[in-house]
Parts: sequence; structure tokens; C-alpha cells
Amino acid sequence: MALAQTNTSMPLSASVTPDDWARLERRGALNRAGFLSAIIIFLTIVSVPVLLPYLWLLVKSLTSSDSEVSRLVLWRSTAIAAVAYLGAIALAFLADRLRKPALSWAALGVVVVILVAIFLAPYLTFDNYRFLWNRDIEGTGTTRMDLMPSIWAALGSSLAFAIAQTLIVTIVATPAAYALSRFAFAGRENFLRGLLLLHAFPALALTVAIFIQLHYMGLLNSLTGVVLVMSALELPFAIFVLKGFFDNVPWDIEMSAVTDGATRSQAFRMVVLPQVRGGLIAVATFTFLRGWEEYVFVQTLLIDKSQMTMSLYLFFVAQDNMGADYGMIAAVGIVYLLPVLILYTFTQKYITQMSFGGIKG
Amino acid sequence: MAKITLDNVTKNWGETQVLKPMNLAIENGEFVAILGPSGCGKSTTLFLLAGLYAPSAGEIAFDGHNVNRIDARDRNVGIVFQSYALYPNLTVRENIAFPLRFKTMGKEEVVRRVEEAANLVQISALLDRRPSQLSGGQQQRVALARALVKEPNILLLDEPLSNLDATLRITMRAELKSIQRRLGFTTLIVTHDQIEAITMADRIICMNNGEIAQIGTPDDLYRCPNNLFVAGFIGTPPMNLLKGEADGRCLQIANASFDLDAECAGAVTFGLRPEDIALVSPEAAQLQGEVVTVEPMGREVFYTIDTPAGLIHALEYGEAVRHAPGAKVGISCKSDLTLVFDACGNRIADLHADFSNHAEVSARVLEPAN
Repeated sequence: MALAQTNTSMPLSASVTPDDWARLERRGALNRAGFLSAIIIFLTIVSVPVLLPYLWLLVKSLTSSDSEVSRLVLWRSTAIAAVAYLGAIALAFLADRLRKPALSWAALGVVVVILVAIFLAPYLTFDNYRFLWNRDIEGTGTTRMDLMPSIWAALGSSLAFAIAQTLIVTIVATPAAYALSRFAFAGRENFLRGLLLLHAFPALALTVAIFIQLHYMGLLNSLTGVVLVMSALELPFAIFVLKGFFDNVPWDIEMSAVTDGATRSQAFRMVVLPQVRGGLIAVATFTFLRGWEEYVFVQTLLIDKSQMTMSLYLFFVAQDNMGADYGMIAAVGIVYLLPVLILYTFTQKYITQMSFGGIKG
Repeated sequence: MAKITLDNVTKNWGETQVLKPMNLAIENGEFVAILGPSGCGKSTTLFLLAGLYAPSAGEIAFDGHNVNRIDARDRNVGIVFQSYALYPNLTVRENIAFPLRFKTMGKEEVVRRVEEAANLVQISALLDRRPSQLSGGQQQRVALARALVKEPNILLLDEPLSNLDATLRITMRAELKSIQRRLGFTTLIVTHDQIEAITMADRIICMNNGEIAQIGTPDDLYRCPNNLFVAGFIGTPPMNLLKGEADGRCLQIANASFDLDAECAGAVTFGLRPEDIALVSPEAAQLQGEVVTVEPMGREVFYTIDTPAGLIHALEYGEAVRHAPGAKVGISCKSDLTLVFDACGNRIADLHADFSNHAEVSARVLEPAN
């Protein structure tokens, strides 16, 4: 074995001809190309099942529910997306050699738009979004209309629900996390362990008990009750994450503020809090999203559905004894999704900080 | 500006006593260094003075007033932390002005004092930057300006230079010293770097294991260390400490014996600075050895010599290497300030061993053989 190794390394150390160098260079280029293409193919295969539903949801929400048309549109849109994707990869590869890359990207964009205009546009309709302006979604004036709230009311409830939950959680979690991070008190370790346990605990197991509790508290059937329940369930995680951020604020900085003449609470407000801003935003975003997507507890604890959140509305639309209107479900889904996308675009840079919980000095 | 006194101050963390009863008086305007290895309680002492820790017992006084019950925020102490502890969310200007926010002071007065402090440490051009946009040396200057701007009673520096590179450290050392001279604040600097302490401070408090090992001028500590700890800690390369046995006026170290100028008995340790050693021919000295390593350091040459009494380090000035590894040399002494420590590690005052009259000694040693 050892002998074989020395043999193969011989040409390199002894006499390397220009031919050898050229051969090694070719091999290196080949390896790099092989590696890159393997990565691209792998990522593509993995991404397709993840990303395709979003495309289909959008397309579905814009086509009529006729199954023939619907299938045709789905596959055409997929084909156009594939063309756009391959074109983008080709352009990325050629980017170094193209004289005006921006122009090529624009050309690709134009091609995609033309393809959409020719193959998809004739079939697209906004009819599925009629719930936005018309509560009578069946167009018949059935009894369902009495039950069906307007989508705007549902959006409003969901928003109020998520915002209230976010406020409660951040306001309670911030001092709790600070205390756990900074103060030594009896039972601190057990408290932390308890937090982790609470977070690991399957909250759904508590549903019955919570139901009874809310009944006695007179909060059943009210959004306030659900907000309180959800806040309590979200708190352990929020406290734990925020504690990590507080841990990262150096002790020195706080002590420096104190020697500079600040009280402990002034130091907290003026020096410590600004440094965990990213963490606060991240935790608030997560809590908001948890409230926005919550279904089980809203479904259980709001019995007569007078106050409908978006998750309930989506479920309500899907339940139709005349047969589900998939186009409309998709359209509700898109409306349900949009606020999340908007929120994410603004807060994503703070959320990525969370992974390394970092504060840069 | 204040005179600081510590009267039997101790600090316990739970069961462990990190600071043993400490008595100390620092004069107004004095520049004092607290020197010691890590974990010896020097930063604890500093934080006690700042009021960030409360003493477990004893009394801390500024200008004779007990400050034990005065909060850190009211002690008007300027402190520069090892990490600088700048507020990352504020600009340099806001950082320096931060302590002034808590004083009743006009806007113009704040601006004037911030500019003044910034000028003093030469960062006027950086006032609108954020701490993260500054180099280590600049951050340190900002921290210093922030500590000075409130015209503190005392200025505390916690290892301020340890995060700087070697050249910058030398510049900042000189600068800190000159600023302190000019402004006259009572200043305490905590450091584990003896060069920093020796070069900057008027007096050094050398600490070990939560106790003061010795207080004195840099020269006192270097020339007359009170105990083995100070002897071994101060000076690079460190002092040679040789184990020996004293009997009357005779000191026996390995196979060599030396004259003592006073009576003494029992196990002792004999201390000799590397630069006080003269390397002579083997016949001319009592103690012989073999050169193990030779390290030319430019201005001087550093020898490690293996002797029956253990490894001995010697410094010879001049860049010429006079002895090669493996050479046999005799160990003699240029100075009569050799030190003798008793079995407990304390220096025996006014007791010196005579290393220098080697010719006579070797003659005497040879006698029994005849």
C-alpha cells in the first residue's frame, strides 16, 4: 500500500512534463464542472416538490374550476416555469461571456411574458376572488350566507388575534428572559429546565383541560380567551430564544452604563434593549406567524364561529356540500399567504440572525 | 480626584474568599498598578472600588468618606473595561456623551466636554462613526474618553492594553501615562503584564491568591522583593531561584557552598537575577554547568545552563554569542544584591550570599582535598 502510494506520487515530484500539467488542468476543470452540475441537479430535484405547490396554488386560484381547463393550465404553467428556470440557469452560466447580461435577462423576461400571454392568459380569471367584494359566494343567496362572514372580517380577526398574541408574548417574555439571563436566584436552573419541558410538551394534549378552564373563566367563544391560551403556549419558546440574545449582551456594557451614572433600568432601556432589537423582532415575527396560522385552538375554543379567523374561513370555504370549489379555496389560500410574505420580506434579516443569536459589537 | 483607602476589605463568593482582608491607601493623583496572575482578585478589587461589587466586610473610603453604601452610579468613577464595553447602538459622540446624560448640564457644555475629551485622546475625526467601524486601538481611545469626560473621582483601567497589538500597546502605554500626568486623576490600572505595571505606575500592588504580596515602587519590587512570589513574578526572564541549605555563615547549594554575611540556618531559597550572572571559566567559579540553549535576542544573549542546582538562566549584554551549547561555564555574580528567602518564602532582610569572591572560595574548597 505504502509502496503504491509512493509510486503514484512519483511523476509529480520527479519530472513533470508540460503535458502532465495540461492533463491535470483538464482534470481539475472537469471535476469542477461535474461538482457544479451535480449540485444544481440535486438542488433542482429537491426544490421542485417544495416550490411547485406555490406556483400551482397561484395558477389554480386564477383559473375556473372546470377540471379540463384546470389541468391544461397547470401543466402549461409548469412548462413555462421550467423554460424560465432553464433559461435563467443558462444565462447564469454565460454571464461572464455575455456583453450585456442585463439585456439578456430582460429578453428572457419578455419571452416568459409572451409565453404566459399566449398559452395561459386566455384561461385566467379573477372570478375565484369574488369573495373579496361579494359575501354571496354561491351567487344564489342560500342560507349559508348567514353563516358566512366577509373575508375582511376574518382577516381583521386574524390580524387582531396575531397582533394581540405578539404583544402579550414580547411584553412578558422580555423581562422574563432578561431576569433569567442576568440574575442569580433560587430555582433559576429548574425554571430553565421547566421552560424547555413546557416547550417540548404537546400542547394539543391539553385541549380538553383548557376548554374546561376557559368555560369556567367565561372566556369560551371569545377571541380574548384563545389569545391568552396561545400566548401562554408560545411564551416558553419566546423566553428561551430571547434569553439567548440577552446572554450575548456583554456584562461589561451594562456595568459600564451603571458606572456612567445610569440606573439598572436606564441601562436596560438605553444600552441592553437596543442590542437585542433583532431578537425581539425575530421572536415577535415568529409569534405573529404562529397566531396567524393557528387552527386547532381557534376551531375548538370558538364554538359558534361568530368570530372567524382566516384559518377557519379557509376551512369553511373548503367545506361545501355542493362539492368543493378548488379555485376559490386556492384564492383564499393566496389571500391568507400574502400578509405572511409581506411580513417576511421586512423581517427576514432579523430572523436569519436568530440562528447564530448574534449581536455584533 | 480622590484619596482612596481600603480598610480590611474582603470579598467572598459563596464559601470562597476571593479577597482576603485588604488594607490599602492610595494618594490623590497617584498612578497605581495592581499586578498579579489571572484569578488573583485584582479585577475584583477594581469592581469593589467602582461599586459594582459590594464588599463582604471592611470599609472603602474616598477622601475619608465611607462609600460602601453609595451606588456605583453615584461614585463618579471612570472605568475602562478590558473589552472597552462601548455601546454598539450609539455613535462615538453619543458614547462619549453618555455619562453626561445623567448629569444636569447644558447642551453647549456637553458638546464642549465631548470635544475636549475626544481631542485629548485624538479621535476628533471619528466622532460620527459607530464603535463597530473602529479598530481596537480607536475603540480603546473612545473608552478612555468616555471615562475621562465625566471628570471622575478615580479612573479605573481594567487590563486596558491587553487587546491591542504589541506596537500599539507601547504607544498607548506612553499616552496613558502622559494623560494621567496632565490631568492628575487618581488612577488604578489592573494588569497581568509586569512591563505595563513597571513602565506606567508610580507604585505597584502585587497580588497573589487574593492577598497583597507586596506594595512598592517598581524598583522596590524588582530589587527587593519581599517574598518568593514577587521575586518569581517580577522580571522577564524571571529570577533564578535555587534551593539551598544554610548553616551559620555558610550556604550550600548542590555541591557548591557560599559565604553568608549574617547567621542563618535551615532550608532557604537563593535568588539571583539573570542579568546579574557573569559567565566565567569553570575553574573560576563555585557552581559549574553546561550551556543547554543559546538565544540571541539582539541586544543581549539569553543562556540556559544546566547545573547541579537546576536550570539557570543568564543574560549577557552585547550581541556576541560567547558560549556555544555544550560549553562548560562557571556561574558567578556581578552584583552583591543577591537575595535569600526563608522556608516560608519570605525574604530574610539584610542577608546576602557572597557569590563574587569566587577565586577565594574555590581556593578554600580545594583545601580539604590537599
